[in-house]
Amino acid sequence: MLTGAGEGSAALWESVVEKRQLTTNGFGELGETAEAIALNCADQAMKMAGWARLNSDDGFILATTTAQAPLWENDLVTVLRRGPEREGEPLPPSLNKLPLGDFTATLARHWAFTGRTQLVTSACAASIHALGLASSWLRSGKVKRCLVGGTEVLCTLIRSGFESLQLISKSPCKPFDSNRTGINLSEGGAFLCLESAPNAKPIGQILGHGSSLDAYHPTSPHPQGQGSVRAIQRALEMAALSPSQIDWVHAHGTGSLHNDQAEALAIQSVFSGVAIPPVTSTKGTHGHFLGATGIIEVALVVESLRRQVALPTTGFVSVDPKVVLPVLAWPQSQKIDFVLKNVLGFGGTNGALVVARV
Amino acid sequence: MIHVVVCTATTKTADLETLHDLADFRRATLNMKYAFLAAREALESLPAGINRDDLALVVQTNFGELRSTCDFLLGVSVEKVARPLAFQNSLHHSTLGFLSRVFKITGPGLTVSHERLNADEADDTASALLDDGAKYALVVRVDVAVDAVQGKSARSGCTAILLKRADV
Repeated sequence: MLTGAGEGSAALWESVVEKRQLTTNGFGELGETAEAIALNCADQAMKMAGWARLNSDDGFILATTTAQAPLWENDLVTVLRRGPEREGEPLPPSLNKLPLGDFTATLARHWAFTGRTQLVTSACAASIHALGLASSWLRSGKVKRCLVGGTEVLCTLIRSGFESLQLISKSPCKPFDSNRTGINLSEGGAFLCLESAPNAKPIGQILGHGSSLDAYHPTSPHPQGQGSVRAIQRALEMAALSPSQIDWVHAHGTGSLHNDQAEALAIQSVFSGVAIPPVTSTKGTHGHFLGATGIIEVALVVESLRRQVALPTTGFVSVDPKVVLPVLAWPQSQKIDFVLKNVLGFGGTNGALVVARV
Repeated sequence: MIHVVVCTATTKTADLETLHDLADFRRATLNMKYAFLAAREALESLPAGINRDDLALVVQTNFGELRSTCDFLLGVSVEKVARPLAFQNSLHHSTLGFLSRVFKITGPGLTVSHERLNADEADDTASALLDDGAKYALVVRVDVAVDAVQGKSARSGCTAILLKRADV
């Protein structure tokens, strides 16, 4: 993992426990390229898993929304503004990186990897979808092992776009808080090595995953969180768990008015009739990593499973009457065997993952 | 599990004209229109009564919503205006969101990209969603060319394929 807290999931986990706020004026920058972040994270993950290299019967799935956009944005505008007299002139080489799939191919070439690859670009649910897809590949025997990563860097498109939607909070975000004012956007990445029968001691287990579509609005979630409910229920069903067996919910919790409200209603619906387990969003510390946020937060969950400590929600002070959830304001030592990780994204996309202690 | 191909469809460019006056398409991008036409034809083979929760959707695109990205970045650069609609349309995932709204698809859904449009990669992803429990999967492969970047010989197009889980 590489985030504003430094290298490794432990660094970010400890920052969350200390309730540090790693964003400034609404953004958390690393100043690295997407490729550098991805290679760094993949190297860390493979070393930890004892993988010397990727083999042709392995898989590689990457999740991102903008990938290499900072490399071509300015050149694209320059080309678009050219007059007709310059038509036919050679294009800047950076525009070869316009197709998102080029990023995956670049990384695969770096590792001389010839096996099965995929790039998932399902907005903020992308890396949870990628982990779900990898689980399916492993279960069906399509791959022996699967490297899954999420990487996100900020660019003009993202910064100006989110500002145009008036979603950015210039102060650190306050997920689920009654005074929340919006989201923070950050750069970072995380990679995980998935295996059906790991050689090294596993650090966690994916028991189930689910995804769904709201069919409701281009950017806002379904107001009652109906799509999110379906994704969570699918993940629980695949994991063969009932809601009452979930010990902790690591929520999407962006700090936006509509997301937090819809997600709260979804969680309430899934856990209706049983006690809602403690709920956390860690974005008050690290911000929103967009397509990479799911996998970065799953890495935090895995760290929590190991230490048996549920993380706090930095920035959360007062309960929003419309978000009635047992939100954790402080770190809490507790038994954690099963965790629900939830995400929602633009385009009405949802994802959920059940992660277990090993 | 080997899944069954129910139907394949390809967008005919001339049919795009038929969408001009429809309210659903006023804010739609060309990618969305191409995708809609092929998807509509493929979904004609979906048996009546299938719950939309059981229908998965995979959109595969190489350049995504490049035209909207160009519009948005030109707005920011030249006019100093960031247009929310251009931004939300510029996301790779926006075509999938559009299709899900128009066809009320509420099953699992993913947008994927590859170095080039590759039928196997997209069908493979749909196959995984069928393995995970969806009964049908609609796969839409779409790309729309931008002349200034890809040259005038670049083609736009879309195909859709409807897959059925083998045991359904």
